[in-house]
Amino acid sequence: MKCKIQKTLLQNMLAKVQGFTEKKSTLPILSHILLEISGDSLQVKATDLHTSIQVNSPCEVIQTGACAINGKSFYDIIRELPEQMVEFWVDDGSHAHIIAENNRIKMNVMDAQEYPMVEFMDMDHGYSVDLSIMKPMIERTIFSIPSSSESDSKYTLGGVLLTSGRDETGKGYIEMVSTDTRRLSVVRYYTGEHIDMGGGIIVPRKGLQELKRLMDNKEEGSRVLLTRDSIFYTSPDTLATVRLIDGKFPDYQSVVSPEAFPITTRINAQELHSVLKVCAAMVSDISNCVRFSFHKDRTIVFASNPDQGEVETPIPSVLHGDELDINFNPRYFMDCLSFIEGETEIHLKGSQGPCMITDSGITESKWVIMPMRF
Amino acid sequence: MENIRKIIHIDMDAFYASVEQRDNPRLRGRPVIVGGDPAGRGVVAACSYEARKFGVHSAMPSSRAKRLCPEAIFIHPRFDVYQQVSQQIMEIFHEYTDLVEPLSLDEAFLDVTCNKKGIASATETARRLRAEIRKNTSLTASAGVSYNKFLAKAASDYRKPDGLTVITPEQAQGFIDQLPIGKFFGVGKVTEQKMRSLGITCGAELRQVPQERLVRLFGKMGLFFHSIAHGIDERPVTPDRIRKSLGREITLHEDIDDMDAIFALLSELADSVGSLLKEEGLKGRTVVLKLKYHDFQSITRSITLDHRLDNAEEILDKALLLLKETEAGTRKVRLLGITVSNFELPGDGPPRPYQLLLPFCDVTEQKEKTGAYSPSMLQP
Repeated sequence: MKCKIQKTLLQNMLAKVQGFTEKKSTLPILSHILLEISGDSLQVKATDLHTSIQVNSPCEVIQTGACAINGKSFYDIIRELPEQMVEFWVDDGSHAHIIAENNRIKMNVMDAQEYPMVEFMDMDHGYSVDLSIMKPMIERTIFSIPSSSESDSKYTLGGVLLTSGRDETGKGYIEMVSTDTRRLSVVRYYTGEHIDMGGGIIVPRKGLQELKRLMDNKEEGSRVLLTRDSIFYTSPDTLATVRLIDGKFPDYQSVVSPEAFPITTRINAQELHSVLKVCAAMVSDISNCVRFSFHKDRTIVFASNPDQGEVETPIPSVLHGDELDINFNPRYFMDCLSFIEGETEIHLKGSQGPCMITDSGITESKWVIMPMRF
Repeated sequence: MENIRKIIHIDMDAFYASVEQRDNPRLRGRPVIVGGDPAGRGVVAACSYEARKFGVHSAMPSSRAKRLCPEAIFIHPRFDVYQQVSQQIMEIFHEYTDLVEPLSLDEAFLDVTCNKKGIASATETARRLRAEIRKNTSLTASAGVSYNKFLAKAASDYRKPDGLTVITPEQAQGFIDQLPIGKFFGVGKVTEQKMRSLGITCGAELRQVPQERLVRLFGKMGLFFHSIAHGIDERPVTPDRIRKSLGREITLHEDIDDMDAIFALLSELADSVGSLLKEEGLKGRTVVLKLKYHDFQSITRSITLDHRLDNAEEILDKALLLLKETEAGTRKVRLLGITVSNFELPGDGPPRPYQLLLPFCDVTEQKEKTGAYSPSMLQP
């Protein structure tokens, strides 16, 4: 195989696929990417068997062929090359040669036959969701996926639950849900029609991160397709898929039921957010605990650190229900307040019960946060 | 002379079994074994002296005990009762001194150098303690009296049951010299074997080994062995030891690799640790899973959380999580243990807040699986 390709073009392709390889696997082939030259283009594929991607780019094809090469090393080397045409070929043995200006590089390759098949099936039956919907839905849930080290054994919490249903009026919706058992994020999008996602399936965190990264590129003509076993991302030159997994997710409906929260306060989200940032700086790593005192006409936020000092800031707010004091990890609040503009509603139950923050726009978001106790 | 302490070690005689014999006259004079079902995989938690004559001893599989002593009467342990009796005994101790260091439910060190009753003789104090225990609980205890912990404990073991042994500083070296190496504090099965392979079978022989050699062979413990061989043990009696961890472990009589069985055992351990934590009002941030493989290789895996826990379900959750990091299932396991540590200590300053968890209401259907295993498998 042999081709010539613009360095920047190649680098961009490699950048896109980096996150899809599996660096820690015991299978060395999974840390590799597949390069295929055919027709008039170069195709780069990467997979960790759960998330897969292929990227196409036109190039000057001299000889068709395929090889597997270490994804990270190849990318690291290409990045350092001058902004020029890069010549790439694989010899009869097991080496790839890269020539760019005076650089003469030889890299080990593996047999393309050994590379796992990347399949992109069932795309025709998917439900298409606009990126302007999908991206915020991911952003608003991904942060409350527990880090893998603390993942629960009873439930599959290492991803976002993707589910669908109908509300009381029969309107169809899709919902994305994540929880680390201390807080819960639920984002709903009304699709109008009913989308059958089965019993609900889980999108692994890694797949979400990669999808989000692809969406950040804001490529023209890109779209997201949901099916019952995969999520697809397509753009004119890229096709990515995240395989969904079956798992047990906690029954979250009762936790977000509005009846569970008899107390409500209205408060400016940005103002609260900036006050909490100050508090978080004061209590960082000591207790991570901030006291909220909800009064009829104001909310007093108080944080103290015996070694540093304390912060006490009142914020105007309007309370319906009993006044109360309650402690929270300020970061859990900041994580969701950052998405809200203007006023928000904080729904409360009592000083040891959950609290729910809501935001509605194109999507409906609910974040439930459990308090801290002394 | 003023530096000589008066230490008493009190050890109840066949505690669990004696309590059972006390409460049930039909058991008196008969071999009684407290522990797991001999038909199952339980172990002996305690046995009466009548049973010991047949070679039965604690930690032995119940099935083996049954073979050794077919007429033995097997009884499921009643920990709540033992706990009550233990409380009674500890109260007696505290009438004499506040320097009481309980080692378990049925065993404690007392420093009676300055006692509340103003008794000059430690031997007299021990005599009175034993009499009061007998009067209040109808149970017998053995006591050892000496000037340090090591000797006091070795002494209480010397004349069991219902014995009182005093080791004066003058008698100490003679006592130590004849003491079999396995009776030395800190010498377990493995160390004993190592000592014997080095030709050290008793105190006199241990005393001959230069300190450096002992340190080389046994590390820090070598220093300690050297000291106690010379009758020196400065460890104080520390009352109300601040608990740093709380755990339970179980040695299986048969090595297992069946994950269902391991799950069931961990579930029992978690329940037991959870209720002990609640009893003591402790919550810990760290959960440690201990595992000993069939080849005696012992490993621990731990997880530290950002909140403190004491409920069995969560402990089990974490233990199962840790189990994934072990070779259980592929390598046979002979011991399982769960420990919770990292408690909030009195010196830790203001209480630290802890994070509450979402109230998901799910039924843990796996609970049922534990039915086949009885709590009696847990060694006290």
